Amino acid sequence: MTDSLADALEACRRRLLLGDSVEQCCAAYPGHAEELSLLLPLIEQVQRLRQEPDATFAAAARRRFQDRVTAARSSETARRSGAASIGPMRWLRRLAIPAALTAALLGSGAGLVQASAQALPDSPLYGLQQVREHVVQQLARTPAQRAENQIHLATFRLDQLRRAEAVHKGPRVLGALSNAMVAATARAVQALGQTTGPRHEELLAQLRPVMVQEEVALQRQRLSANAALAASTVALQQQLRAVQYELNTQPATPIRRTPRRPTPHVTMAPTTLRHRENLPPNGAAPARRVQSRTAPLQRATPTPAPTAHGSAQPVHRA
Amino acid sequence: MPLDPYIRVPCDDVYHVSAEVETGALLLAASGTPVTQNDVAQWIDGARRFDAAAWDCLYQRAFPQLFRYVAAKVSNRQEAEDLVEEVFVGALQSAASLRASDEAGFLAWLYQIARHKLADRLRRQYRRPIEPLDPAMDIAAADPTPEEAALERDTNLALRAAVSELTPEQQEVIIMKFVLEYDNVRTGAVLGKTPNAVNQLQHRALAQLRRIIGAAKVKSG
Repeated sequence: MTDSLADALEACRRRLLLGDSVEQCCAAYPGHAEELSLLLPLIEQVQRLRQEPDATFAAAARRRFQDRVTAARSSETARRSGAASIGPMRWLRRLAIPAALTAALLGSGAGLVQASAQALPDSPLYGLQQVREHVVQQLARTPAQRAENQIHLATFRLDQLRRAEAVHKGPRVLGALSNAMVAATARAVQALGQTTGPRHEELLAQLRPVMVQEEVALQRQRLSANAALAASTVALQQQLRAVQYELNTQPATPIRRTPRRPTPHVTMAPTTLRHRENLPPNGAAPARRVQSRTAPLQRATPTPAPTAHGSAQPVHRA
Repeated sequence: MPLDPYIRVPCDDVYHVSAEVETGALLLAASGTPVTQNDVAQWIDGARRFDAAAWDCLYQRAFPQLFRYVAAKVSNRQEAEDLVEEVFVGALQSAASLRASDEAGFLAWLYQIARHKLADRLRRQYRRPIEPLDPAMDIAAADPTPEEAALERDTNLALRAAVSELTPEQQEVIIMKFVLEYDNVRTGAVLGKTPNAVNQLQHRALAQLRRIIGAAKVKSG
């Protein structure tokens, strides 16, 4: 739309509001009469959509709105005064509900974990117990810690197995516990293979009696009336024996990959080296012999060198 | 009505917005007291604090414009009145979030709330269609003879349907320019556009409206 047409249209819009007709507007702007004759009737038609509010309704609506504003102001004032009466601790009040919910969740979670400690495989909390054990195992940083955890776990499974037998649990529960017990022992032996020193011996002393008791428990289970349980126990016994064999054949000092120390070697020529030696001033022989690169290096203590006075003094590198 | 001390200009009798509104600069009240944008800014500030006098001033200025805006979009007077009240209640509820600092900004905020309320109403009607109980309650039903009223109603319905086919921006420009009678400056201030952009939008909107109405006439025979 050109500026002049836009101006003409704007002027005609105002003239139509003041009561002029479309024809009068077109006559006032003959250069745009054609476009205006098309657009102005449309504008006139759109202007008829304008409706004024009913005065009675307007007055009633205004009163209703005033009441609503008064009510809103009262509630706002009450809210502010309530917030002010709480004073500087109001942030604490805002945190109270989330804190209570968090505490309840944590408390119930901790309670569940605690309750799951004694759960047997037929309990719904047994899964939670396994998760907790897995987390504890993941938190172990050293092989010794891992071995210790697994020994504790194997001992715990052995206790659980005894309790399950005492309350006459079914073969499914007993089988699951035996399986978990032997698996924990195998993991303990595996971790033990990476330990050394007195700690290794200490852990070994803890594990051996546990394995003996495990053997006894498995033998007792094998002799039970349930054929399926007895058959599965045979496999577990074989597995336990394999673990025992692994434990017995572990080297006393496990092979460990230690970072290789850089081999010191001397590549300098003897003449060069002589400058670095603290040679006696009388041109006597050097205090220590330079070894060849191929010969094994011996870190000898400084040999006493003869001095001008004939006494022996230690020779140090510069 | 008692006014708070910071309300310098009484706003009684500003119900009928005068033609000077179109200039977009000074707004002249019927009482002859000039209402400046600074006064409006003070009312808006008071409205955020739920000041009754400030809200009353704003209400009186905005009510007729809002009614015209809503009535141009719905076909039923009763529905328009309900919607206008709903919009003001919604505005009061969200007064704390009011960011406007002048009248154009305040009106833009109200129109935005009105568009949301209209959309909600349309959604509800789409789910549970409601037929108007009495056709005489339609906005165009105030004409003298029943034939003329029916003809006017049909024309207005067709025009509203045609306007509703425009893009949202074009609809806003058509309503603000020809129903609310804003000039390009004020329309631009409310829509957040330059006067030139408003001019272009108006041109495209009118051309499109002509095409839609022409096509509808051809279709109806």
